[in-house]
Amino acid sequence: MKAVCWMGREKISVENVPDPAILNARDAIVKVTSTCICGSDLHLYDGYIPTMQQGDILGHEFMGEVVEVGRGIENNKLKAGDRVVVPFTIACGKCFFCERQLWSCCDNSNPNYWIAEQLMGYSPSGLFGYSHMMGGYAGGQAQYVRVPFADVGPLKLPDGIPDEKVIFLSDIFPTGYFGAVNCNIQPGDTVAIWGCGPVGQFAIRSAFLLGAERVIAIDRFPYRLRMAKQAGAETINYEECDDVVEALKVMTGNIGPDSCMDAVGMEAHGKGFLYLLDKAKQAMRVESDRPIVLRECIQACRKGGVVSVPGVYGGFDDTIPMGAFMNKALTMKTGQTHMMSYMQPLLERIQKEEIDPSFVISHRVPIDSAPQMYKIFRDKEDQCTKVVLDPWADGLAAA
Amino acid sequence: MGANVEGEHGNEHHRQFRAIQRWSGMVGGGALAVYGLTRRSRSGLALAAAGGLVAYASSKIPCEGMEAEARNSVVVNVPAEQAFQFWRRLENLPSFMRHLQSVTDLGNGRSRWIAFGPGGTEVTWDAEIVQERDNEMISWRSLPGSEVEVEGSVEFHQAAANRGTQIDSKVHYKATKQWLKALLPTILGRYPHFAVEQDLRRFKALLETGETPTTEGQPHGRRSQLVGLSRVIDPNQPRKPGSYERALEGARRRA
Repeated sequence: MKAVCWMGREKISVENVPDPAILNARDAIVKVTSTCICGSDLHLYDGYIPTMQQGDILGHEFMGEVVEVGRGIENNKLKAGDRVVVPFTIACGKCFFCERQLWSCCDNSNPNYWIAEQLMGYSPSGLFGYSHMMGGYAGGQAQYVRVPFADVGPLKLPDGIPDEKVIFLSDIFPTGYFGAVNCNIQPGDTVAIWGCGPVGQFAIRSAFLLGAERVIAIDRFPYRLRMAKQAGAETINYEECDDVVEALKVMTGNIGPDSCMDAVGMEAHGKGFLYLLDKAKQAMRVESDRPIVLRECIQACRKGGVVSVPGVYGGFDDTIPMGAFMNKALTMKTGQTHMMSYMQPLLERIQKEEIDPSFVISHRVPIDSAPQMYKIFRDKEDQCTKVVLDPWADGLAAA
Repeated sequence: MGANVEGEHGNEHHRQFRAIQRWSGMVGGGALAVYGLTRRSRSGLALAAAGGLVAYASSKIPCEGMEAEARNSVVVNVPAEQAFQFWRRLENLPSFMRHLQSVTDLGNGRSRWIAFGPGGTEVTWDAEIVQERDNEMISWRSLPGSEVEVEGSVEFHQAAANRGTQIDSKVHYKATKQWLKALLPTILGRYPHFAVEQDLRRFKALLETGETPTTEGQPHGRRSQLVGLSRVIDPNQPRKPGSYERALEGARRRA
């Protein structure tokens, strides 16, 4: 089958690899009909996530049709022929954490738990196509994929609803929504959201769905800010503004946003001395992340407010304003999304036409174009917001 | 690792000798690996692979003699009875203890254990249950005259706040023959606590979910020989029986 493989930093290649097979009783094999490149895949592309190995199959946003299930899966849970969207986190459904709906903290799905434990104390759940530290599972940017614990994760889909409306239930829609849930939005709240990429776009819309009165979106790309505006957000282009924290102060009458969301993560861009210092330190591998947005969120948040961090961080971060965080009595909420709690309710919102997630798609291409698209997406060329790959389209004809 | 078994007399001498063996292997093997890599050829790669293996194997020569003790604990989200019953059926042990090929119940509390040894060999010993209390504990030890002396125990306690069962396990290995020294690191991996920890995590996953998580056998794109080899000799990976041998074989075939 065809699969998008990580061959090294900034090296992506579409390889012919063997088809996956059932390895455990609760596995399923899914024939992928749509799969996407996620902003967090760009951290892999840029080589900032440790424990990637040459030849690893990428991709954690995918959906398709079940073609085979292991003998441990009951027929009423999942069977061949079911159309499913698969969450990017892998959860067993039985452990202490899964029982408490902390699905992305599943204790049993990461076979390489000890690598993560060295870095984080305890290991989060396994993820598809996201480094060996996170389980080393082959990803879904491929024609077929093996899905472990398939009686827990995959969400069965009704017929008739097109892929492009439901594919983002695999990650970014629930992730944006989870970021907004973590903001603890009260009616009338003002939410500031850094990053108007796909997750930020869903976070903006989710914040409104959850009762926010004002959403202030921050980015530097006009086309992404336009998209935010279309959802009803006010916008700040930080490149045209001296000081984002000051601007937010003015916009909120010196109260500050009730909650601030970092939908950017470890490879933030910014201005000024600290940004250049972070960039240098990251290049020299003495700091794993560039937490520019996280710092701004803490500085900008109103007293007693919430900082929500759906953006991905990898390791250790310098110069976090703990003084502001402590003295302003802030709360921080974060985590990989507890997918299984949000997929079904969000599917219902899509079916009720409260939201059509396909607005975020900018590129639909055959899987063979993946290597170029990683670069285009990373460099924000061609007004790129979201790339959907078709694993079965004829690459030569369509590229 | 536990104390040296050879007594006070000559203790220091032996330890020094092993340390020399260990470090010369690591340095020599490492040098060979570096030299091999600079050749930039297939035979150079094989040389590098061999050097890497020598360095790696040397790093695993236990410094402290032929004895090792390991312990670890885990909370499993099942009742003590279920955990106890699964463990007590000794035939189940190889399903989560990777160094074991099989355990056969011989009746009367006795059992035959077959472990994967170095170079595709098998190491066999007979053991007996020393003590057991239903749903609370089991202890076992090898019968006198075994090549490997093993003592192990496992205890099951109700975990706080109804979180299942806390399991504490302890194993003590002693090799009685010189050549069997090599077996201990094969069984125990990088360091003994880690091997027991991995066994217990697999036990937990198996009881809670019915399977142990794995990616062995899934597809991947081209890996260079070096990446492939580094996967095999990663001291943190659970040791698959015979993986050195296959890696060497593979390197030989490609060279």
